[in-house]
Amino acid sequence: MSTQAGLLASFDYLDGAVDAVKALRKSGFRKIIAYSPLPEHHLEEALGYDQSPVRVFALVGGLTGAAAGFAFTTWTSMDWPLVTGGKPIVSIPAYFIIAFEMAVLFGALSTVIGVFINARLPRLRPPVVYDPGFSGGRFGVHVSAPADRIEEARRILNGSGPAELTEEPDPAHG
Amino acid sequence: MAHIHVPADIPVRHLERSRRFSVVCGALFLVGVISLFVLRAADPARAEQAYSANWLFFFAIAEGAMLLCAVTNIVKAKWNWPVRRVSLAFAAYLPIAFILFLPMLGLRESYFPWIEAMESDPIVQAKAAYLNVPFLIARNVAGLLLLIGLSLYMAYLAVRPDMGLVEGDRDGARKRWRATLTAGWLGQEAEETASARRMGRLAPAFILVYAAVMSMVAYDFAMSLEPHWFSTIFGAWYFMGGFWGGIASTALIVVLLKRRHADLNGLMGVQQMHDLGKLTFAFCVFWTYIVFAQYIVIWYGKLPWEQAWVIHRTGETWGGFSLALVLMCFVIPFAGLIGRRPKMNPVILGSFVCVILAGLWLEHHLLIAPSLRLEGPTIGLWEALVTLVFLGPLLWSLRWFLSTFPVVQVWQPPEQLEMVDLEVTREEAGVL
Amino acid sequence: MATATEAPRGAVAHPDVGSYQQVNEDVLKILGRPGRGWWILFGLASLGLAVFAGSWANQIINGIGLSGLNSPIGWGAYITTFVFWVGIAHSGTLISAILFLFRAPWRQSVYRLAEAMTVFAVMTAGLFPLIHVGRVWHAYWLIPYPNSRFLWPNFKSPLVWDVFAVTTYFTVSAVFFYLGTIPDLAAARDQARGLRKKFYSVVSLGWRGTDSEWHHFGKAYIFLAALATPLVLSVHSVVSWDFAMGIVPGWHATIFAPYFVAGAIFSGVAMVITLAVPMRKFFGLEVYLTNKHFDALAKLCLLTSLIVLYAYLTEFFMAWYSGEPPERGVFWNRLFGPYWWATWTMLVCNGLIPILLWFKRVRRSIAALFVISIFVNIGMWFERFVIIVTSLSHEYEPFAWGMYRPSITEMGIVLGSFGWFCFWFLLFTRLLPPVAIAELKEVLPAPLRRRARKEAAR
Repeated sequence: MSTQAGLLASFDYLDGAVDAVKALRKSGFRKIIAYSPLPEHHLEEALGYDQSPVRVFALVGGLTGAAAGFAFTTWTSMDWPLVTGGKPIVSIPAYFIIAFEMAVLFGALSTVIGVFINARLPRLRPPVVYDPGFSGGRFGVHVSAPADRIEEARRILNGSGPAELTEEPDPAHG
Repeated sequence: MAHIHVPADIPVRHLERSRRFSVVCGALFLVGVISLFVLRAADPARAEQAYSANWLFFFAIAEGAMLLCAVTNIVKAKWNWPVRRVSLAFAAYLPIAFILFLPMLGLRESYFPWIEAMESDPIVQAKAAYLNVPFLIARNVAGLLLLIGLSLYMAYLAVRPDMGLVEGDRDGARKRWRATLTAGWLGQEAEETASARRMGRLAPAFILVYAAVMSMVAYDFAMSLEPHWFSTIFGAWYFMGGFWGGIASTALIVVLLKRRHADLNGLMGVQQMHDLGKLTFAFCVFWTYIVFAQYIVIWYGKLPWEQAWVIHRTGETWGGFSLALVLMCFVIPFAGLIGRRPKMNPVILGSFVCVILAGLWLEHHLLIAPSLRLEGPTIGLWEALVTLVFLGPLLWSLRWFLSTFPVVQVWQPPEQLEMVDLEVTREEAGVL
Repeated sequence: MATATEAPRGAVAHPDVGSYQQVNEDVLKILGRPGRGWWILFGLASLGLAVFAGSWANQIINGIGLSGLNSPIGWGAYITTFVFWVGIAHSGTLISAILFLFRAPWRQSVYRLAEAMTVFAVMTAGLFPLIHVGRVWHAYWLIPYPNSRFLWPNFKSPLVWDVFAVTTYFTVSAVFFYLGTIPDLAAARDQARGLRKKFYSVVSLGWRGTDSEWHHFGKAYIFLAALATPLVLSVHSVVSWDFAMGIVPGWHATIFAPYFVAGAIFSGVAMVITLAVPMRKFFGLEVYLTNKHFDALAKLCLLTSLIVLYAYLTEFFMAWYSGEPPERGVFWNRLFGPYWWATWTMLVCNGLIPILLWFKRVRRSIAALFVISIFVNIGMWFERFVIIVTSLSHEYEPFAWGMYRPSITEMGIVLGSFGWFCFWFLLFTRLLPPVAIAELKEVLPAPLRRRARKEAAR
């Protein structure tokens, strides 16, 4: 493999960034990172995102929590059977409530874990390839390509009217 | 985040009139009436109960659909503008519902156990100021007239501005209605503004009247059948069930319309299915919540006058039906509609909605029958046949409404466009 | 129809906000310099906190006898205040989760503040059961673990449900709050210097706003909102079942769960208004918290007040309809017994005064809304007081009827808890962006090259 090079373009306009991403993908560039100050579905669509695996985390977490809630309450009541309040030893309506709370707790926590794993957070070192404007009003596109194709990428990026275009080393991609 | 655009140009679209459809509806009605009389000859009490339960069910979903219009109007929801008229069509059933209600004013000892208990039971005697026939008749007639009147007025407000936009229509019946509804016409723009303003004022009042009247109807024709029993959530249970039924039946009719009329697919699209599906799902959870909230309080308290009602419905005769109810109104729709795809697929959504509506139908019978015939006979074919007394007129009135007034509301309340320029319009977005 | 497309650009939720960058500047400058108003409020809050801590310390040293709690009324001001603060918490989750799912376009400016309020209100509420039980050093008994004889807690007890519900609620709302703040913390990081920069760098977890981060974040946010919505319903329902599971007349009502949830949202929306009005003024957030936002909050307040009113009327009617002397007695006692003043305060503040919100003129007047919201806060505290105390004071047996009066210690703790809450809330306004920067941009028109060109050509 030849050496990798990277380019970072900052855009003042959303459509500029989206056009750049689309054009890059059309020319076969795949290692693209888009930066945005807000959740922007146009950018995600341009990059061809599908379902996020986070949903699996939410579902599995929720089901685990519910099962754990039922299992825990049932097991502890069977462990020392004691009639309280004239209720059955294993009282499903009452345990349903605990199971529900556990489902929500586990589901929420595992969803957050899902984000952290999938989005590779937290990042402990300060971001290398970054422009502080990306949390303000600017959109960014970083493309990483073999050194011999970088001029083509530069031409494409320039075509969408970036506010700034700098050469940046290849960041840890993903 | 998905945004819904209201297109600048909405096609005026009516369902075509169909004599065959009317004949079928009339036949259904006739079969229902004949069955009712046959059942009445064999088992008069059961006929009364079947009639009353069915009336409660159909009235609840029709008013629930009206509530959906009122609520989406208050919150200025944009997603449902293409299907709001479908919910509104249920207004046409309401005058019929009132006529069908009149026979229920004749219900006496065989239906209301408190009439007899009044002689000997001190607890029932303590309620005499509320539980007496003249007051029962007076408050229900007045309450229903008020609620139905407000519903029809709301429908009128929604339809009237459209009349100016369908000028060219030559159809005779529609022309007559246009003439009636456009009395004192002020001009298109003024009418739209006036309608939107009045609707904005009316909708909250409608919600209040809805809650009050529906609670009263539920207390009188279902809760009072076990005169010692009371549950503060009972009214809310009935009217939230009605709301759910209204949403579900709107979804069902939209699905049917989409199947028969491909041209409506452009307006009643995936987004509308998804949103109706989401609401149906949310109310499935909410219904379960209400039922659970009532059940757990009674289950935990173990008070004799409270648990009798629950025991009657979980015993040998009726327990199976209660279980079926939980399956049809919670387990099946919850599991089926939790994902995204089933909500957006008309066939799947339509099937689950049918299960839900059947479940709600069963629920209304379970509110009444176990109180009055604990030992059975249970719910069966006869109840289903009596249903036709209401189903026939309901279907006919929906068809009548949608063929007399545009299927999709043509005018749009001005303030709904407030957020439009937020969105990246198609033209601006170019390749976006 | 056609007129709308001619509306000036940006004549939407925030007509006076020009660009994305301006949001960052306006919001982040709040973090910079505390004004005098903030210091005065912070001083007052610290004073309240001192009263709170002092009263509680006094009660810990001298025992729970310092409170007015005694047979027959074992639950009083502490439990009332517990329910009050849990209730306050609810609208925060409502605004952030339910309105998010319903795509309400006005939630963006208020939701951060409402969510912070949720977290701090649950923090406040969580202390009250500990205060109430007296021997707080045994608080760890609440954790479900077996005792020395391997006997587990009674999971059929509503009080144990409550432990699960409130703990879950605190955890989930804190997580939800933090996750939503991360992009804004990154925005703060990009502007800050020195020590603050270090702080924001750590807490923003290295957020860069890349497509993959936003993608997973956005999906997670939807799922968290979908989980938080039933959680809101469940938490206050469980709180209501602390009462409704008992057979005390006035407590044992099937409507309690939805009634409490509606009341909770009602009081919480009122508290959001109470907090948003001064914040708007002190921090110059007029362009973000516009009349329209207050109008929407007021409508939500009105709607929930009507549900609460429906529940009040249903309860009174049903008590009469029950025909049971104890049921009838307790409600008669509420209206005309020794606690009539509390009941009528509740009815007037929660049932009558919010009716003013029907009028657009009232909804558009921020001063009027502020006053009404204070009334609602008071009324909702009294609602819980009425439910708890009047019911216990008038149970089945006349010989067991009794009266309760909160002691000085109780009042100190109850009033001081506002100091504790405000202390955290004021710190929040200094440390975290109090308006959601990233989400606010969603309701601003996106900067578009094509649009800019068109406008330049014009």
